[in-house]
Amino acid sequence: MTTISGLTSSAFMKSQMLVQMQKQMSDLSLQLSTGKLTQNYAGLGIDRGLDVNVRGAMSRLSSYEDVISTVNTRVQLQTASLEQLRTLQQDMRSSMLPPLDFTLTANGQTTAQIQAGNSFAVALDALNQRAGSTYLFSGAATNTPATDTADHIMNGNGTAAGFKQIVAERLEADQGADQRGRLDVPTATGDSVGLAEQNSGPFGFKIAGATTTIPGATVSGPTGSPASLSIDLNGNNPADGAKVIVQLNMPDGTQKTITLTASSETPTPSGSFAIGATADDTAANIASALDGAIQTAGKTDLVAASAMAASNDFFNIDADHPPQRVSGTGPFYNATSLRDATATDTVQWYTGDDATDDPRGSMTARVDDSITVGYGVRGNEEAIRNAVQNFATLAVMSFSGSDADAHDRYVALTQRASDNLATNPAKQQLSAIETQIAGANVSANAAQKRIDDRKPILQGILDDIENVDPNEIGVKLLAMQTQIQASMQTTALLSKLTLVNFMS
Amino acid sequence: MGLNTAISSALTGLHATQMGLSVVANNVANVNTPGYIRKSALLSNTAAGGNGVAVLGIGRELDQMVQTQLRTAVAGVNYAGSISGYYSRLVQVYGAPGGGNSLDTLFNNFTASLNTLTASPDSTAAQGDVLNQAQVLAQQLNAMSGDVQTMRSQAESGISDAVNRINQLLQDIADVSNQITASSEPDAASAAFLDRRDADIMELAGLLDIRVTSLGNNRVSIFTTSGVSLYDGQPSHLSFDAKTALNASMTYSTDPAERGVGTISLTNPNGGTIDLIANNSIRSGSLAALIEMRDVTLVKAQSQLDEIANSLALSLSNKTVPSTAVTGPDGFNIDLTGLQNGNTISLSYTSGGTPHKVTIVRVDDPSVLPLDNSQTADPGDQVIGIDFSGGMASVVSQLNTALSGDNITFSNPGGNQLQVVDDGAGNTSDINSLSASVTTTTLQSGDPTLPLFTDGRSIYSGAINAGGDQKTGFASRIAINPAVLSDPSSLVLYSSTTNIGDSTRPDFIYQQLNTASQLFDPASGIGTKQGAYSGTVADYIQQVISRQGADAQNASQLNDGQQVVLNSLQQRFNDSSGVNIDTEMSNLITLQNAYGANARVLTAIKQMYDMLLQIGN
Repeated sequence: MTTISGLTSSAFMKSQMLVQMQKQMSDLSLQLSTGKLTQNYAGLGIDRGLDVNVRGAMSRLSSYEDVISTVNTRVQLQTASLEQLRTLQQDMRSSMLPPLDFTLTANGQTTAQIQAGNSFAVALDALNQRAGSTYLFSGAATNTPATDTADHIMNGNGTAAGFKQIVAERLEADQGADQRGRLDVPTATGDSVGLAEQNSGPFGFKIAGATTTIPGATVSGPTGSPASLSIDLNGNNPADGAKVIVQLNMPDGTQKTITLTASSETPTPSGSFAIGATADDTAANIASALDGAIQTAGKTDLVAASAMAASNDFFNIDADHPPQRVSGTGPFYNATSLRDATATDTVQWYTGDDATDDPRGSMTARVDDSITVGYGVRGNEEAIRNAVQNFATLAVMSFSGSDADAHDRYVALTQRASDNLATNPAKQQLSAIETQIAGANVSANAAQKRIDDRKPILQGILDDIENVDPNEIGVKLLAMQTQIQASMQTTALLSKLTLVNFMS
Repeated sequence: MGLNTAISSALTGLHATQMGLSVVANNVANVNTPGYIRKSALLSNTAAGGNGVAVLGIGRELDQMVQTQLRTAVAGVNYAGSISGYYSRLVQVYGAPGGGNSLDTLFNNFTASLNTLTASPDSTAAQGDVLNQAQVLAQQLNAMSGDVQTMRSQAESGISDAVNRINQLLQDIADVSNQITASSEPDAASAAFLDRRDADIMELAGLLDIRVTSLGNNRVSIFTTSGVSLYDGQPSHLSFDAKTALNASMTYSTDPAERGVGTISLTNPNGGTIDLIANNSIRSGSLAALIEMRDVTLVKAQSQLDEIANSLALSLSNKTVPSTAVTGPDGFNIDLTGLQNGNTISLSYTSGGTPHKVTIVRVDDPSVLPLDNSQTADPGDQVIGIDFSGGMASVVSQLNTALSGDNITFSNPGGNQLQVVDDGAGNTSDINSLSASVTTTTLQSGDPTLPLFTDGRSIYSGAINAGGDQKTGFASRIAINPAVLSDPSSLVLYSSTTNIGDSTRPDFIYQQLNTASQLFDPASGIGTKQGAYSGTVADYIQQVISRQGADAQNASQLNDGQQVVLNSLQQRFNDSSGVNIDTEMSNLITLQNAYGANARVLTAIKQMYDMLLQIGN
């Protein structure tokens, strides 16, 4: 049997019922005003675990978005700098295309060299580009500039030697006091021509070999250490046009080929040797012509090669490879080895993070729950260093108009620089770095798209769990209002329906 | 039988209706008095002379069946109401969903700031933000812990108040009972005393679950449902040694030396005492709710917070130290330098074909030994506590004793090294792995682990001391390492040569919190002893919030359900034993009529006498 409360229940219970309804009413109006189902986790019901989880996911997505925007900015700035380096590199090459302009300006440099000096400074600026306070080409050392200043690098900083000094020292070691590139004066013993290296360690010319077209003549060597070789005519006197060819390796890995041709002309043309009356005489002439050619090469090709080697010693550095200096004290004509430079005696051109692991991993960002992108770049990476060091090498030299070998030396220099700045598939290219960091950016942007897709879904879930539909609440409120009114009216009616009112 | 008899009968009728009227008046006056039982005049036609009506006394229209049910329901509803009240406050501690102070929001903010730092490790703003967020998180844990302990203190003083009230009620019941037995007649006074005693008993039933036995002659005895006598002619006395300002390490224990909170002891009139909490004698009513809150629910809430704090601290500060293999006999060698109190060494070996998983825990005080297997959350391991205070030689001998019979041998080849090898040629045992989890204590250890969260100003390693575990109440003490605060760059620089742009450490911290899975102590109520909850710190926080929300909701629903039961019982009780104005009014009419009729009888007799007298005239 259903108990009808009202008449029989006590006033307390009736009032409690009304209070209960009033409370539901105020809950509903709170929901309407806040738009939220509840003010605590108890009220969320069965979905509260999902709610907390989705909130966590939303918070992570927001943090990924921040990170992606940071990555975007940085990669754009890095790409701009790399583009600039590429343009500088291309412009530099164009300036060295033939016909080569060897017009010296007031300070003994060509316009191309002055351009190289400017490019060097601009390149350093590009490498010291910052996003906010973060250096973008210092690898993980994001609070340190990537490079020292152009002035320090070139001219040194206090007791620390700069690139100019390194080049000068290396040139002394490579040329030797007599500028023969650390080779002994070629000798003629009987009809045999001898050529020998001095004890020069890594410096100067290295005898790679010799050939001759003189019939019956033989070449022996190079043998021994220091290496030497001899060309024996074996009593044969050459005819016009017979050739003696000597190959010399140079410090930058290039090779100098000296070709001497037998000639009976008078005077003997350049690059030739006179055919003597006997094989012995001819041998003496070959030795003398070889000596001349070596001395010329020592003032031209060797100077350029030495500068290139010095630039490698100075610029090609990382944590395991400090700059290389010529051992000993100057003059370094008799130096036989290189030594590791210290931070106090030599300027370190690259001041960023010089670790030897993958540079991309030196700056990383998490852009999704499981995706981390690496977009770090180190200024001492091969492609960047190559540009910087060739600009510097071009800019470091100067010439004198009165120097007969100046032009040849300039040609040797520009040829090498031009080769080094050319696209070489065997070496890392600037475009490769650009592609790699752009790849990181692409991943980041793809992650951003996923976030854009996921966020509304997650927000939808949250809204479904936490929010209330104002229309629904409005209807509920109305219903509740009606219910309370009805209850109150009924209560009022019932309270009137007591026998007390009908007794007189 | 004569007219005189009729007169006296009519007079008794008038007297009875007057009495009935006074009862009606009293009933109407008490219509809303709680605990008032409807009274009725008890009439009998066997008056002294054998004629007329006699008022035997005032009866109580009591439905004892419903009253008994009501007492049980009151205990239930008070229990559920108190529990629900505490839960509704506890759930506030966890904040509003998505609110600025809710635990998950703060944790999310912390990890988001870490991710930002991973992208810009050199940014002092990002470093500062991580520290700020970590600080806010730690402070929130402190505050939540404080709230939980405040609630425990309130429960403690609630118990104290309830015990005082129980004593008052029992004394009152005793006093009133003496009055009732003194007046053996069921008169108005004794009915009022009975009402008062019932009201007292009903209030008592709300405080704790009781069983009331009627002994005849209106005497009762009161027991708890567990059978402890509260009143049996004389009241028992309850006493409660309340403690103030509870903290996490002040918990209940049956051992008085370890008990940090009060307990209720009952002294019966014979002088015997019994500890009601130790004997689990209180099972319902608001007192049971307060005890449950103080000793179970809030303790679990605290241990969940402690577990969060513990995993926050240890997952960032503990590094895994690997071992090196040794041969002939085969085994492993591990360097235990830096092993802190509470740090663990995990050893896995096979002996006699049975795989063994042993967790060796460093302690520095032999009095805490032996450790229980529940010391680690992992259900599958055997926990061996080893006292390191005696040096490596002692450690080796303790280990060899503890695992003797398994054909494995521990030794100390030098320094802090521990070597464990199998039985070689015997080939009955094999060592499978050996590693240690060591708390990093310095900022630049060369390892990405970082003691970011500390216990006040000291390193947290989950130490086990005679005074209690370091984990107990850690949530109330967790703080940011002051050394990190004074040098925020240590969030990045894990060695003296680390570059400031190196994201290794922020990345490690992020991963430890968001992707590294770990086991959580089932003592917190999440997970079971057989299957400890395994997940990330983030997962665990979600679990805690989820669980607290669900518990609060359940408590609220239970309360609503109990309320419905109570309401319907109350309704029935009111219907049967309460005052119904209509009934009283109809009684009033009846009484009025009866009075009129009796008066009419008197008038008739008077007229008859008059007639008789006129005959005489």
